[in-house]
Amino acid sequence: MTRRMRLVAPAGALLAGCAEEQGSLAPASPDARAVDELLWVMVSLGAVVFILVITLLVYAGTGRRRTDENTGDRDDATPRSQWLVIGGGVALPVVVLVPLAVFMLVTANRVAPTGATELEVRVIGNQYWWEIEYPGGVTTANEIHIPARTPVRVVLETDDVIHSFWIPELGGKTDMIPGEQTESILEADEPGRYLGQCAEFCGIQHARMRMVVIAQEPAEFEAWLRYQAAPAAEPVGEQALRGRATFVETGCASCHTVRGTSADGELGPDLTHVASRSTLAAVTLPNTRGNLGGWIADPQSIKPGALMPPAPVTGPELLDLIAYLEGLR
Amino acid sequence: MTDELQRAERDHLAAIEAAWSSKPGLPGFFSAVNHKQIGLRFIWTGVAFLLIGGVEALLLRIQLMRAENTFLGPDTYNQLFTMHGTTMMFLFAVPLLEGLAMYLVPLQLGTRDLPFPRLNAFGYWVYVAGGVLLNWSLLTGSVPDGGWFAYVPLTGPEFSPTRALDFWLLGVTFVEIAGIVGAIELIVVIMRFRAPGMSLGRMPLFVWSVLVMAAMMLVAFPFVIVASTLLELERKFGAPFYDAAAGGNPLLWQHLFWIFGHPEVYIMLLPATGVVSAVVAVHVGRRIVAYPLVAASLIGIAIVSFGLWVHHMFAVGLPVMVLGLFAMASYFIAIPSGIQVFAWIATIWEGRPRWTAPMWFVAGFFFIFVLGGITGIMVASAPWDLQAHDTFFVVAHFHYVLIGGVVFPMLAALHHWFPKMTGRRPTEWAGKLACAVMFVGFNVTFFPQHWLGLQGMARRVYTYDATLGWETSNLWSTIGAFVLAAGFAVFFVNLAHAWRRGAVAGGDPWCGDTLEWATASPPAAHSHDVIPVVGSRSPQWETGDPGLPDEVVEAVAVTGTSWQGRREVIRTSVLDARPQAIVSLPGPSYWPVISAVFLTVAVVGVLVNWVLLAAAGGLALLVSFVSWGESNRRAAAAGEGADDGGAADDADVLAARRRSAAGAMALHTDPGRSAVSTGAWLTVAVVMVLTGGFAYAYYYLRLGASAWPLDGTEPAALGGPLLAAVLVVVALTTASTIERGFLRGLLGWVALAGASVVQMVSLVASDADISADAYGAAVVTLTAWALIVAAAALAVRGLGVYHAARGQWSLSLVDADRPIWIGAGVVWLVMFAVVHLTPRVF
Repeated sequence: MTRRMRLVAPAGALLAGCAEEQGSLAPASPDARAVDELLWVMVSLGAVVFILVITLLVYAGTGRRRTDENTGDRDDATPRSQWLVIGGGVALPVVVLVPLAVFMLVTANRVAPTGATELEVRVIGNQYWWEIEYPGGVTTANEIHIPARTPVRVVLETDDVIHSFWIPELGGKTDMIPGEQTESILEADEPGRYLGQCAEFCGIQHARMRMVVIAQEPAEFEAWLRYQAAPAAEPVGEQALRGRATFVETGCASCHTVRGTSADGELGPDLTHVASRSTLAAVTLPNTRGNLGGWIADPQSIKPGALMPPAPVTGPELLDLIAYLEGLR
Repeated sequence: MTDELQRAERDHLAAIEAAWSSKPGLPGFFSAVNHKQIGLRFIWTGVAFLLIGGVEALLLRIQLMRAENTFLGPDTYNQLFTMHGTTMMFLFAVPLLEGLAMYLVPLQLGTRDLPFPRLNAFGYWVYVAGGVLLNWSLLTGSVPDGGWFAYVPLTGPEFSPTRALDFWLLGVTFVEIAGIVGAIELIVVIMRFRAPGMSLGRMPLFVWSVLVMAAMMLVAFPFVIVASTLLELERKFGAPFYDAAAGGNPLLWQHLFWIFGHPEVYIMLLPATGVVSAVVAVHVGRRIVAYPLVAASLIGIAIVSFGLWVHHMFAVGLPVMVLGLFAMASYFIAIPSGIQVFAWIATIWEGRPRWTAPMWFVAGFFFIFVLGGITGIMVASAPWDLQAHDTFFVVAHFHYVLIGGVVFPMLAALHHWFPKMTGRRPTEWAGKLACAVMFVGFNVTFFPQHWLGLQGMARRVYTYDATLGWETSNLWSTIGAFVLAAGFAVFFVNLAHAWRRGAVAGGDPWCGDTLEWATASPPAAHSHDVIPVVGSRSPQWETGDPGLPDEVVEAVAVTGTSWQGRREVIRTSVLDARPQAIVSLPGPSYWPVISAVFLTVAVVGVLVNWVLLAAAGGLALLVSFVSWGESNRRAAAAGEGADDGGAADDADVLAARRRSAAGAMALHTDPGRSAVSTGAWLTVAVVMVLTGGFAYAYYYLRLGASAWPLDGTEPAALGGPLLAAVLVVVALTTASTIERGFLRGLLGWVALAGASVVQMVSLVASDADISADAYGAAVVTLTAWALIVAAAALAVRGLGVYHAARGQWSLSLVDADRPIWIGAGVVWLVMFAVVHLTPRVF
């Protein structure tokens, strides 16, 4: 039985240090700002209607203007009750909802994923990670780079179950459905990191299927894309060389691709530039040595139900693998 | 009155009571058919599931209380949220409300039971079986974990290979069948068994809400049955309805499910609004204003609710126009909802509100439901919904409308009618305390969840990152959940205590306006001593003028108390409730529970792939149904269970009907269609909706296909199916003829049986393969459906012909034959057009 060193990062240190935002209340794209406006209009109108209805109810309920006669058998429509029913039940909804409907439709048109874009990216949802394909053969995982202030068309697909692509700060979500192709437009107002989450229950680790969008200055983005297009860096040093051999022999290559080597598996994320990514396991862990080792040694203890089996490697072999993978910048 | 007369009166009432009583003890428990007993069983079983579902929710909240919590693993968490939603949506809300309706509606209508009491009992046992099936998984460890709406492909054979989802699908189908059975009962009692003089415009608003709810159930529930059937076929036989790789489509599940799912929430809401109407009227001492508008709003909500379902699917990539349309339709339902809300406010304003415990719950309902309605408009706004969908914002929204809009009225109902049901009053201050605690607990639980959704917390996540800042809101939400649970505990302890030790309640502790308050508390087995004649919307508050001729009123007074040792009720006309006939209802029987057991055995056999068990169960079920029918027939022939106007045996009745006599009673009206006939037509309507669901699936897949058949081949030969269709048309010409002699009935039977054989042979000869692709699956399934419906018609016709040949008549079979025969014929011809003509025409 192989002895494996457990390098599992303690649960609490998952993304320690920085507090992060994932909400739609800090819109950072034209689409997100448009629906945020709609939100505040609705909240304002809703508050007014709610206060009105409750005030009327309280006033009606604290009865002091009764006559003594039994009102039970008086027939239905006093003028006051007619006003209330028609005014509150018909006029009020119409007056509030017709303008809201107009604004809503205008907003729907604004955020519809139409219009030509210069850049198109394919995102494929898997249980429980995201595959991203750029033009020119670049494939990466869980971390989407886009040029800031530029609309990017995202083509969404999946081969297993239904997932949903959602970056709250950048806009609404769009489902990925087997057999269909859906689309979304991503555009960030400025460079930064924007967190996302799968938003359609897709199985046991739906909760940990997250992603990050990194918007960069266009020039930086171009540089990043060129860099990603290059094949994998050659391993430097004995340990890394052994690591590459272990990678192929222990079967990692049957699931993962490392462009420029013989590893061409397609079940798991492309690892050609894995060390350039900031997180692992779909934004579950920061990409550090310890986490990398822990993940490879026993993914099930971090993300039980993930489709990656533990690697049958010894302690030294694990260290070699880490050295190799760390070099794949 | 002289002593002799008084004694005769007492003996008379005692005899009626004896005729209507159930057997005591355990035999009584299994054979009881009285609507009050069955209704209470539905209610208390529903409460039990509420508590189970609540415990499941508390466990979920404990897990979410802290980031990265390890109280529950992801698998257990996913199972628990699935079971929580499933339990609440299928096992608690609708059954409890249906039970309340089964209990109250006959009382409020001035009649004595539901029209098919044994069928009602059967519905209860099927519900229990469904609940057991769904929760059995908790014992075997193979618990469903696909969410309460079970999206494919996650719940398909590839990604959910264990038996858990099969239990789920079959359990849900059982419960929906029980729901449909109950709905048919309620529609028939409301349409045909109201007290004389209670025209449609004089029915209590609660009864209106139940009528609309039941009609909605007949249209909505078949869609989830179709969806589940297709999924079970995919799981068991590889029929790829939802598998995109073989011509299926995962979105088909979503459409079928939500065509059921959206009306489902209004199915729950409408009777709850009926409760609010009932409670408000009584506790403010004033009828609800604008009665016609409120009744119209109920119907309006029902109709509009069938046009909203796509708002659950805003994120699937639909064209903007579709989004806009369904968003606006979703807005539109605010109008009939608003009419009801303001009618209640106006009623309270015009009346003298007494802030009793039930009214406290009504107040809680207003606050919470209106807020939920407002967030409903927000999530209906499609572009913004793309932010809120599948987050805790939506979870908050639907708990506001469901707990506020459905549960708070239910609690008001339980407190308000508990004295009627048990003869004891619950303690007022404890009821108010429960309400206050629940109100606070509810808002502390769910208001923060709006915030969490806006902060990006998706739903159905077993844990979340500590750096996201969600912990505080989640902690408050969990604290609130325990406070809410405490409120429920106070409420039910109050009821439990009152059951034994509460103050004794008279017949009318609240000064109510509807007829249930005219009975004792609890009501005698026969409910009303005398079938009343009704002349107003609030018969307990004013007598009014029934608008019936004096002779009729006198006749009712005489016949309304007539007992003849049988369970008698008066059947009346649909619009004006003019009395038409005396109907005797069947009494206690073991066949309902026995049939439910055999049905369960058969279904479990299918579930575990044990063909012998399934076949044995199916055969036993068939024998049980036939025996049940035979038991009814013999009771009718002996005078009990006959809708015959008092005639001695069925042959005479048929003769009477042929002469269009006004029944054996001098009631001056046309005897009209029997209750069995109405019930049979409603059943046929359900079969039509099921057929529509299957056809919808067929055309949905057809529209998404580039070639049809999918593999580009020619459709199967037309000759055999065409011959079968012709035979069915021949059979249809014998639809109305069984009364005229058994030979034509037999001819029809032979024609339909021949058509079935020809169709089956054609199907086999065409090499149709249910697992080849979606086309093959659709062809086989739709053909099988037509054959199944035909088999049911053959069974009914066959029994009728058999009895006729022996000179016996069964009125029920005669009345059921025509609708079922026509239904089977129409279904067959529709399936012929869909399956065999579509590929040739489109």
